Parts: sequence; C-alpha cells; structure tokens
Amino acid sequence: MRLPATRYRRFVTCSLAFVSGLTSLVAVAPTARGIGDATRVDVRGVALGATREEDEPRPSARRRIAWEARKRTSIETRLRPSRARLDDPSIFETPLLYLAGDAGFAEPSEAEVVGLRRFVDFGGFLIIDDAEPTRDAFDASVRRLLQRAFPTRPLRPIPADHTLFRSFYLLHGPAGRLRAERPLEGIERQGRMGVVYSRTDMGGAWARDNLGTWQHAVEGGDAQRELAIRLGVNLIMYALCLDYKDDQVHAPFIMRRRGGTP
Amino acid sequence: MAFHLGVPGGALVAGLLLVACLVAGVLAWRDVAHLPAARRKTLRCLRTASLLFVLLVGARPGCSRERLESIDGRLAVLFDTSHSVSLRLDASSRAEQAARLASAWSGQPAAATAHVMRFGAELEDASFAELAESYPTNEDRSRLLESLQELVAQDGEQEIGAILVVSDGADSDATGLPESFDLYGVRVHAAALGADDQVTDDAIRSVRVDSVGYLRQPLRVRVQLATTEDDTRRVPLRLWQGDQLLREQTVTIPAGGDVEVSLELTPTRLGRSLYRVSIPVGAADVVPGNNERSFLVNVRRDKLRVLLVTGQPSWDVRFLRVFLKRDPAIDLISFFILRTVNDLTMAPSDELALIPFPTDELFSEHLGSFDIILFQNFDYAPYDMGPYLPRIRDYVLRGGAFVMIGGDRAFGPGGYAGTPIEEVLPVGVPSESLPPERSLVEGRFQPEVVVEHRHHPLVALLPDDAESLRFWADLAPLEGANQVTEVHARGHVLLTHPRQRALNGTPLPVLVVGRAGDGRVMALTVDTSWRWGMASAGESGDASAYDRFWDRALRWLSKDPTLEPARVVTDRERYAAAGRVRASGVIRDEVHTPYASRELTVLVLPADGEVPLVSRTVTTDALGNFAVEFVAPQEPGGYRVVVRELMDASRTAGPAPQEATTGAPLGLASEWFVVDEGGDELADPRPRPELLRALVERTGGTLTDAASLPSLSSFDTRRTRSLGVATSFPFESWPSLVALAAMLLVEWGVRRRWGRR
Repeated sequence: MRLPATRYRRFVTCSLAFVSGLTSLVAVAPTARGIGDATRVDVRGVALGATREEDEPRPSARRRIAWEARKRTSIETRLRPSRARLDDPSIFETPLLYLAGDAGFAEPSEAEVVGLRRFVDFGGFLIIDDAEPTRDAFDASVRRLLQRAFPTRPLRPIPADHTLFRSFYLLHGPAGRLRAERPLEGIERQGRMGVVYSRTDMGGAWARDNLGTWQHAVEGGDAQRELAIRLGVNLIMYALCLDYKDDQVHAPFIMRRRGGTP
Repeated sequence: MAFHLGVPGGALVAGLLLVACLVAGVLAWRDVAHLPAARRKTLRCLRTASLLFVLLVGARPGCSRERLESIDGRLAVLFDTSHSVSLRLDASSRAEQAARLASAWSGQPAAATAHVMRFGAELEDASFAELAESYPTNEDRSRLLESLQELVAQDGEQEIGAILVVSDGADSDATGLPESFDLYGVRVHAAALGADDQVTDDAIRSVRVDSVGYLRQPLRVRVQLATTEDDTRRVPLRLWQGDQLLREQTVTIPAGGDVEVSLELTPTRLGRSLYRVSIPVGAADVVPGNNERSFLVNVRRDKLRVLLVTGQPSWDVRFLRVFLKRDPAIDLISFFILRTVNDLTMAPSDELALIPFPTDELFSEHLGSFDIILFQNFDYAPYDMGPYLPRIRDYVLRGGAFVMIGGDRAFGPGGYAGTPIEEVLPVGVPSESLPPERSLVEGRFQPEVVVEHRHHPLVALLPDDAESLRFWADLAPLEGANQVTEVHARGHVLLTHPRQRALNGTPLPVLVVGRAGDGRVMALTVDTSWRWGMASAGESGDASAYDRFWDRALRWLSKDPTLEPARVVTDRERYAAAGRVRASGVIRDEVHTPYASRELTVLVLPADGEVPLVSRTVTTDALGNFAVEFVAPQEPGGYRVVVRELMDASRTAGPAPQEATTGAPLGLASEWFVVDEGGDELADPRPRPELLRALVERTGGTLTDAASLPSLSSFDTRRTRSLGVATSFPFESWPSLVALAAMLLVEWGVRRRWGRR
C-alpha cells in the first residue's frame, strides 16, 4: 500500500524531525550520575483519586523541569519522573512531590490527608501548581485539602526576599504561563517551607512536546518563560538545599548582585 | 494528732453533705412552724439531731495519733577525724582532747556495749583503744549531719538509743541544721572539741567557677574571702596560672565577716588549665593553707565547628544539613557545589546566586579552626584542591576529624586513590580509572551490623545489644554504595553490605571508623543514609534513627568524653593534701569491647610531669569496670590519674613508679584533680558549737565540753520509738448507725403519733 504524497511527505518530515530531536537530546543531555535511583531527584507527581498521568493538565511539565534542573545545575534528576498517591507509603522514598491541576478534585480520603501531613512533617516538600488560576475550582480543592492536612498552619504569602527566590537564580517573585498577580503561598514547617503553592501555571511555561516545541504560549513571552523555568529550578534547589543561601558567607555576594551594598 | 474526713472525696464531699443537711434542716424547721410550741420544739430537736448524726456518719470524721514508746537503747559514739580537729590553737589540739576522751572511756563499763565509729568523708567503725593510741585526722571533709543520718539508717533494728558526737561541729557540707533533719527519736549528745578556740585567720572560704570554659570567652570566678579578725582587712587577691600573675585586685573584708569577689578570666588555650587564687598569709594566721585555692577549667570551643563540603545537592545533603543546622551547639560552615563546568545555567553570573568556592580560605587559613570536616560526595580535582589535600591529612593527624560520605563523586570516582586523603582514610580507595560498574555498587540492601563491634557507640544506638541489632534490621534499606579496595588495619568495620564484596574479597564495608594519628576518621560508603530518617518514618513512623546515628557520629568524631571507650573519674574534683581519693572507671577497647579481667596500672602524675607519685594495680571485672582508692599527694597543685596497660604483661604485676614510665605503657584514660593544702575542710577552721547545740536541743540530748571528760554512763540512752500511727473514726461503727436509725425512728413515731405524715 502506498501512502498519498502529502501524507508521505508529512511522515518523512516528522520522522526526520523526531530522529534529529532525539539525536540532539542525546548529544546535549548531561551524563546521568548517581548510585541508583534513590540518589536522583524525582519530581514526583501526585495522583489524586483515580487521576491518570495523561490526565494531568501539563503531562510533560515535570519531565521538562527535571531536564532543565539537570542541564543547568549539578542536581541529578530522574528524567522519567514517577507518580504516587498520597496514601502510598512510597512517597517517603522521595521527598519532593508536585501536584498540578486545572479543575476541582474530589475530597481526598483521610488516609491521603494523613499521608500528606506525615510526608511534610517528616521532611517532604510539596509544590502545588494551579494550571488554571482564572477559575477557582482547583484552588478551592487545594485549600480544602491543605486545611484538612494542616489545620493549624494556614497558607501564607511567601515574601520576595525568601531564600527560594535566590536558591540558584536571583529572582524577584513568582513566574509562570500567566503573569503573577498573587505571590507564592506556602506552609512553613520547622523553619522550612513544606508546601509551596503557585497560581501562575508554572507547568504551562515548562511544558514541551517530544520534539522540543513549547506547548503553551506564555503571556510575557520567552523572557517570562525563562523566569518560570528558573523558578522551577529554584524550587527544586530549595527542596535540596533549604536555607543554604541564607548562610552568612553568601550574603555579601548576593547583596552586591541585587544592587545593594554588602 | 491529725484530723481526717473518711468520706471518699474528703472535704469536698463533706462540704456538699453539710450543705445538703443545712437545706434539709431549713425545710424540716419550716415544716413544723405552725405546730404548737412544745411539739414544734420536740420535732425540731429530733430532726436537728438526726441530721447532725447523718452528717457525722456520712462525713466520717476521724483522727490520727502517733503511738510512741520509750526504750533504753545502745550508745553509739561518733568521733570526728577530719583535718579541722588537728588544729592546735591552745595547749592541746582538738585531736588530743578527743584522744583523751577515748582513753578515758575505754576503761569504763559502758564502753563494752558502746558502738564506736569515726566520721569524716566516710563513716567507719573504730575503737576507743585505737583512737586513744593514735587519733587520725586524715579526712578532708566533715560530714557530721550526713553521718548521723547514715548511722541511724543503718540501725535497722532500732537498737541505738543515743549518739554521742565528739566533734568541733565544723561540718564542711552543712551551714546549719535543716528544718527537715530528723533522727527518729534518737538523742544526740555532744562533747564539743575546741569550743573556746579563738581562731585568727584570713581565708579563701570558697571558689566557684564553671568547670568548663570556652576559648577566648570570659569566665567568672567567684571567690569568697573571710576574716575572723576584729578589724576590717584590705588584702590583695591574686589570680595565677602557673607562675604567671593574671589579675590582682584589692579586696576589703569586713571585720569578722566575709565578702564575695568576682574575677574575670579569659582562657586562651584549649584543654585543661590549672589556676589558683591567693591572698597573703598574715603573721597570726593559724591556717596558712586556706589562703590559696586551686581550680581546674576544661577549656573548649564554645561550639563544634563543622565544615560540610558537598559535590552536588542531594537528599543526603539536605537531611544532613538540616540535622547540623538544628543543633545550636554546632557552628556549621557548608559549601555545596551547585553547578559544575558542564552545566549550562542559561544566565549571566550576575543573575545567579552562586559564589566562588573559597578553597584557600577554608583549607589554608581556617582549616585548623574546624573540629570536623565532612566531604559528602565531593570530588576535589575540578576545584584545584590537590595542593590542599596534604594539609587536610596533617590536620587529621594533629587531632582533627574527617568524614568521607559516599556517592558517585566520592572515594574511587572522586579520584582519592593514592592521595594524602587516602593515607588517613580507614579504607583503601580504588583507582579513578576503574569503570563505574566496578567502583560503584547499585541496588537496595539492608546493611548489617558487625556483631563483634556491636558495642561501638555509632551502632549501639539502643542500650540493649539485641534491641539495637533489631533496630538496625528494621530500618529502611539503603541504595547503592562505593567500592573500596580494603579496610586498613587502623579501621574498624561497623556496618557491611549483606551481599557485595570489597575488591579484596572481604564483605563490602558500609561504615568504617578509625584513628589516624591523633585524629578520627569515618568512611560511610553510601549517600542514602537519609533513608534512615524519612524513609524509615514512612514505614514505622519513627524518624529518629538518622538523628541518633549522626548525633553519635559527631560526638564520637569530636571525642565527646561520654563516648570514650575508656574513662576514669574521681569521686571529687578537689581534695585536701593527703585526702582519700576514690577513682573508678571503665576500660574498653577502640570498638568498645570491654577489657574483661585485665590488669591495669593506675598512676597519679603531676599536671606537667611524667614521674608517677602513686601507682596501683587493679583488675577489671567482666564489663571492664574497676575502682581504686589512694591518698592524694601532699603538695598542692593539679594532678592526673592515668590508667595504663603495660604492653609487657609480666610488668603489670606491680611496676615501680619509675618503671611504669619506661615499660612501653599504653595510656587508656586519664582524669584531673586538684589538691589544696587545706581544701574545703580547712576553709573555715572555726569550731561550730552552735551546730552541736542545735543538734542536742532538737533531739533532747546534752552538750558538754570535751575538756570536762564526762562519764559515758552519764548520757541518757533512752529513745522515743514510734509504734506507728493509729487512726480512728468514732462514727464508723454499728452503734452509731443504730443510734441514727433509732433517732429517725423516734422522730417518725412522734410525728405519726401527733397526726403528721
């Protein structure tokens, strides 16, 4: 059977594009290091209820930010991030979770709520990304979940001088697919952020298809997309280094670069 | 006599009952208000009496009374043999007065049944004859009140009727007679020694200072000065370290009183330092020895300074940093390599929060200031650190601590084979050229504790051996490990991989500790110890294993005395000249296996000398414990108790002091103590007949002057003994209940008879 000429040309073009994309990927990809998977950082997705991976609003976002973190920093990340439910004991195997959504979700079970609370209490870090901040359904569900998990520790705005805005890149505030109209919010636990909540659709700015094409337009163009990626890298760096950049030895350098006097 | 309420709930329930009875009484009173006067009064009386009886039967008031009996008991005679009775201020010393009493009493009939004891630091049996012949005054404490209580406590059969104390009353441990002091009916009589002694003395009564000081941080020394003279005294108070005068201050001591002076001392050297304070000795000073007091200060850094250098951010790095930052006693300097030359940051440097790695500053200028250096998955070569590695080795050999934590940038892959770092590591490092599949081991595993080293504090995380081993077995498994070529002879393997082998075929070590020169080293060949915390918590809810392990590791690395395998302690820190010193300790080897049934030599050495002044041979028990007693040197100053094991066993039987220093001794443990000429015992040499008077008044005894040589039989030995406490509840009886029932019945009968319901 012969393909029509137009479909044949499209097939050849796509095949060439795929092969060249794959080749460039292999050529640029830094060598994976570490001893086994437990050493590498997994930007693990949270599976709430029966949600499938392909049902995530930005399915490629975690993979892409893991790739960016590996390419830009010395962090070893898993390029195929995994997923887990909050009531799965394996969440304690990797202390970073990423929950994204663009719609409300059913009330998580008590076991899931307890799992989230213990995850954060024992040292875990949860990034929540509202992929559709213009609607409030996901936001309402998130706040209900956090209220149940941390009834005495409400979400609070994270000030622009917080360490996570200088954990690797020097940033001045949140960024994502949409312009930041609200600050990042967070829940602190034992002097560190246990939960960070963004309402700028960071994943939308990170998402790329397998050929490297950005999947969503960003309001502020490439500059804002770059800031969103940098924020993602900073969040992962913060999960691993916490307040390292608050150490006194860093202060004069950072002050100088921010335009202040050391 | 004491009153009680027997009703359950006590006063509260009785109060409620009273209220109920009052209410019932008011109602009952009103109920008969319209009756003729005679009937009204009769019924009111009957009802009031009934309610009163109800209240008494219900509340169950009672009283307790102690039952006592008087018995004729034995006489115990207690002689004070402390230093203070050796003072000679008159024609005869207090000790001579006491010896004369002992001599006089030894021939009296009452002496046959008297229980004779002596006290000072301890309570010991004695006899009139031996005390009369040679009266000892070698105790550097006077525990008068404690000795009395101890003696009564030892008398289980309550045979002692009275205690006759022969003492100057100068209890070195008590300022007065406490309100709670009780001898359970035993009388105390006292024969006061030197009651009329007129003491002329300037003294340093006490020196109070923290035994631990911090380098270059002021330390307050509080000195109490006193004089017995009638004139105000102005004396120079001097603070010395060795022959160096550190501080001098003129102090005014009020006539016949005391004053506290605060001096500031700033230690400039780490380790034990001996200081002394002194005032001049006057011509009439009866106790020159209390004009100078010595004290020891163990000078440490104020915080443990830890340098953490990591090759890349990871979960292992994050949890270790959290642990180190959380401890306020740790001053953490950390450097993380956030970006390598291969990483593409996509930003100019002024948009990055990165700083240069200050290698020269850390490993050249400030290296010696760190107590512990940790290389966590760190490769030195990309940062041109080669020239600094010999410095790190020398730092360890001089007494520093170094830890290498595994990962794909550590050990072999980190390029440490053949470097000065490998010289101090407890394991051999494979070549960097070894392919990753051979220099790294992948896969999950449960590390196993090396059973013969289970006592080591890094793995003995629980007090019980079996529980500790189970604790390790229940932790979350680790993942991946670094290969090593061998374990060096100076290394001790504490954890091993259950399946993998090192390159020399022995089980692959996971945790190895050891010594290098004067320093300590540790090799942890994994980069997933964080899983002992969070991952274990996910399974068991207990995240403490990680903190416990690293807490022990840091304490062991920094030579925390409480984790030393061999320890010796003295019962006190300061003694008077020739005071009795009790030393005890435990001796274990480097991996904390007890030195069971081993002969050791315990030596007393001057602070800055090596010629032993005292030598004792002791044998340890099955757990490595030992105890020894000896007499402190006469000369004031600082001394060390050193426990040694001679390498040549034939020389451990009883080496002469001089031989002990030349017989290739192995130092196991040491402790410092101070000898003062007078010590606390002679700090205040005045007799204290007022304490003896308070004692006899409290217990019903008599106070006599020792010089009057009273007869033994003149002391009353009757003792008031308690037979227990008797408690009675008079209304808790059948007659009371019958009376109550009868009263109610009469009230009911009268009421019915008068036509009332």
